[in-house]
Amino acid sequence: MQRIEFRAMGGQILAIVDTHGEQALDCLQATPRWFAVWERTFSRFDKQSELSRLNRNAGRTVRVSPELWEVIAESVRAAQRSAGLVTPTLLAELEQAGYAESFSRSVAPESEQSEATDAAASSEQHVNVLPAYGNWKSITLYARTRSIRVPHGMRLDLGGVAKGWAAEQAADHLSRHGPALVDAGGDIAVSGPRADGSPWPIGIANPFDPDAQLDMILIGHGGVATSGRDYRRWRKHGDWQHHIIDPHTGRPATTDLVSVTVIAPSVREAEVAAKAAFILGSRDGLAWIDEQPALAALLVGENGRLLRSRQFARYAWSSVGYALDT
Amino acid sequence: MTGERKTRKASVGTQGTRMLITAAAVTATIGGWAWFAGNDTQTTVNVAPQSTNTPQLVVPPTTGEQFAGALDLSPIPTIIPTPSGGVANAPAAEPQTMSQSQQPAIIAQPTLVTPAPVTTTRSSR
Repeated sequence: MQRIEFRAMGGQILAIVDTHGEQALDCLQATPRWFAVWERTFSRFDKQSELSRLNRNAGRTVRVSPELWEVIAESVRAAQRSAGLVTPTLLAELEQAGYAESFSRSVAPESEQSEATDAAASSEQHVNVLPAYGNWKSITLYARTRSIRVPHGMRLDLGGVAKGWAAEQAADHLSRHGPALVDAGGDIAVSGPRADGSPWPIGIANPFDPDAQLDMILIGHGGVATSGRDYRRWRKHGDWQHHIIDPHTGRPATTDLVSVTVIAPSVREAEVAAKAAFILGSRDGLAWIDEQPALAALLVGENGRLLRSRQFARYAWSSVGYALDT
Repeated sequence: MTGERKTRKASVGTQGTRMLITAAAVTATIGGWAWFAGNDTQTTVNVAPQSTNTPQLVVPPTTGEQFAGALDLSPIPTIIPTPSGGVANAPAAEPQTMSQSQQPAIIAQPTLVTPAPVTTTRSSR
């Protein structure tokens, strides 16, 4: 088994290919370059990224690269699947909440919001002309010319899908040499069972104690992602903020959940479902997950309670759980 | 489709004895916790590393055919106390009906090796 670790897209990246050989190693060593290219395409923090240039041309039809096209198309599909809960149109709201620079460059996450960051957020703030909820429908994609038109006043943020997409792309490339797993900051894509036929054992971190595990799951193919407010959070004017915006309010979601881990046929679906369930809260989020037999989830309440969806036991090493009292 | 765990094989090394356990066929308790089936949550049988339930004793067929049941317990080692108070494994014996005068056989517990996770999912960092 060969592996490589590096930082990209504001997080820690791990890529594993379960085989030996020079070709697999060469492919593995190319992974950081792929992520660097994708970051230059999708990052809202990079003023020269393709996404930032698209955002500066809101109101115009812009031809984009295949990668940006694919990720924006995926983000629109994500909005459809999640009934608008996970939408790429919340950049202004994120900056308003105080998430104006990458966490990898910012001060410690639990620090007070700096005055400088507040000023930066205010100076770059654009006022959306459309309300946040549902406005993703006004994004126009022209498949024939691979062009996109974002309405005037709207700016896109691809943080909800880009990392999962990148993990999946990398796992896909690596899988040509052997079974592959790519972990992009906690969003994990698995191309297939390990070389010995066994599934990949993946831990689920305890949001209250990141060095500890809540459970372990066994994944043969697909993806797993976790959304939560335990890490990307900060104080603004004395109140805790986090990065998962509820499009109904335009503010960080008010939820009784600390984190949600979802297992899905792909890490892209897992990423979207984890965010949607987090926003919905423990009761509605669990019900929404249970309506979709392809999904399995572990939800962690702010009181420490663990909630497991119907399908979770299929993947869990240890299936002891508690039902949500109704 | 994502991976599944329909069957887990546990390999137990006890002086040459190997046991195959189908997870679905065994109900276990873990450390005294009972399985709890609440509103619509799935009840799952599992074999946990700390399981204290013993597999049901089955006398394997004498024809030499592979036992087709969920548990293959042949041959079963019989642990005989030594005079010093320690124990030593008896050589593997032919299956036989136990009489009341015999010491009860101590059936080796299944030992599941918990795999080390290759990575951990957590909220983005």
